[in-house]
Formats: sequence, C-alpha cells, structure tokens
Amino acid sequence: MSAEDIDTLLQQDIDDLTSIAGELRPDALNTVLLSAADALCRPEIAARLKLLRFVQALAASNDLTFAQVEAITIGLIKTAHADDPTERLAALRALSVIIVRALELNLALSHSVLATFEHARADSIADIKAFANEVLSTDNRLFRRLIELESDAAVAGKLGPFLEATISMKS
Amino acid sequence: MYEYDNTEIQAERLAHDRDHCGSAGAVYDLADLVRNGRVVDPELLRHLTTAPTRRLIYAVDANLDIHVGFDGDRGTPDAVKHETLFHNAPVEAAGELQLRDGIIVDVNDKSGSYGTTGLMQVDRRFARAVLEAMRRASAPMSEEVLNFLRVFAGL
Repeated sequence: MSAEDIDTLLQQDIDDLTSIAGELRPDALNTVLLSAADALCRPEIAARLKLLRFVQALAASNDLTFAQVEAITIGLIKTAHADDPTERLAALRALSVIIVRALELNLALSHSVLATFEHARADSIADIKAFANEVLSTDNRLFRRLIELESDAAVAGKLGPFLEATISMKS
Repeated sequence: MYEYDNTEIQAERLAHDRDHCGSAGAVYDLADLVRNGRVVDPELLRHLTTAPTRRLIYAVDANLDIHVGFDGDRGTPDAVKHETLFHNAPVEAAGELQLRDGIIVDVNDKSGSYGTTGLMQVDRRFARAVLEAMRRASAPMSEEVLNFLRVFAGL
C-alpha cells in the first residue's frame, strides 16, 4: 500500500475508518497497519489526528502480532513528542490501547515503547503523568508488568516519570 | 475528557457539511426513557430492543448525564451522531449501547468523533463515568455488563 493509498484512505470520515478497522482480514490488516505506521513517520502527513485515531481503532479491534505492535509504536512514539498537544495526547492514548492489548495477548512489550519515557521532553512529563492516569487498568496488570520491566537491566531507569506518577496515584 | 470541538476532524466535517452538532434529530436523556426498570423505546413505545440497523449511541458529559440517540447516516439531514448528543461538548465517555427488551446488554466505546475506541478498558475514568451515569439514570443493565464495567472501573 503506497503513501498515496493511505492518503486516499484518510479522506474517509473517521466513523467509517473506525468501522473499517474492525472488519479487515488479517492480510489486509497487516498491509494497512504497516502503511499507517510509515505514514505516522511522514512529517508532511495530513490528517494526523485522524490517522492516530484510526491506528487506535485498529489496535482496539484486532489481535496484533509482535511485529505489528513494534512497527506501530515507533510511529506513535514520534508523534508522542510532537509540538501539537492534541496530537501528543492522541498518540499516548493510542499507545495505551496498544500496550493493554499487547498485555492481553501476552506479547512482550517492545523496548521501543519504553524509549518514549526515556526521551520524554520536559513538557511531555505532564502528558506522561496524564497517560499513567489513563492507562492504569484495574487489575494493575500494566503496573506489574512495568515493575518487571523496570528491573530489567536493559530498561532500568527509563520508566521513572511513569512509575512515579503511577505510585503517587495508587497511594 | 474526550474532545471533538475544534479538532481537525470537526474542521474537515464542517468543510464538507458533515458535522452534526446542530442536528435537529431526536436526542434523549436516558433517565427520561426509564420506566419501571426498563428502557422504553421513545418511538415505538415498548421496551427498547436495538438492532444493527437501529443502533443506539450514547455520550456522558462532565455532569455525568447520559444522552442517547439512534445513530443516523452522516451527511443526511437531522442525522444524530455522537457530537449531536451534547452539541460538541467534551465528554467523559461515548460509544454504543445494545438493549434487549429494555435491558442494556452491551456497552462499547466506539466513537470516531471522540476517539474513544479501545479506551474503556484503559481509562478507568471512562468506565466510572458510564457506571455513575447509568446509576443516576436508573438504567437497567445485565449482570454481565455491570460486572465488566466494574472491573474496568476498578470497583
């Protein structure tokens, strides 16, 4: 699927895209998802908010593979550091859906997701704290997984702001 | 809160005359439709049962009021869409309801306008808002719906 094809797809209303997200066959899902991931990395992409919501709907409506999760998180992480606060929040929300779905599917969290926190800009810390508030599910699976990851030497220290916000919310 | 007003999505719809903020289609306060522990169909005047061709959409506002309407076709006159339910105001939750014989048997978070798809399971505030809004409206829910909302809400 070319960049032009994605641009054409994004001319549809987000309601229609949300419906499409739940109706794709596995081969089409893979093509669309990987193309959407590429599109997120294009600085000139139009309708970025719509693209983010489409990606979120794709993640919510389908069982993604590890490769798909990894591909899409790279694009989302880039957007999570955008100047536009609406885009940042939308990217974090989409990320939160992907993380929870990945946990449901028992996929290892991609270390690239954690780079979001490692490289967070100072003005993104508030977003990350808001993200922590949004992403916590009730059975605290995510929290437990993050603690496990934090003890992993490869990611140690990268989750500081997130865990700080999480612990403060839980106390 | 989930936003629609002043987003690029609203701007695109306004440019194509597909925004339904000011739609004249019927919007209901869910509390007004509850009679004797069942949700009554405001058009057919019997216990409400939804169908794929007659979907009920909902939104919960900052006051935890819940409004519902029958989903219309975007771009057609008087169609009710999510943004119609509170006239573009930010919402705590939005999605679709399924009812059988006046009982809510499924709740989801599917809303393109507010970008809530997938977030009921992620954002505890979403499920809490739905639960509290349903409680205030005295809306009847199946045990299954009540249980999963409680789980997602952390209660």
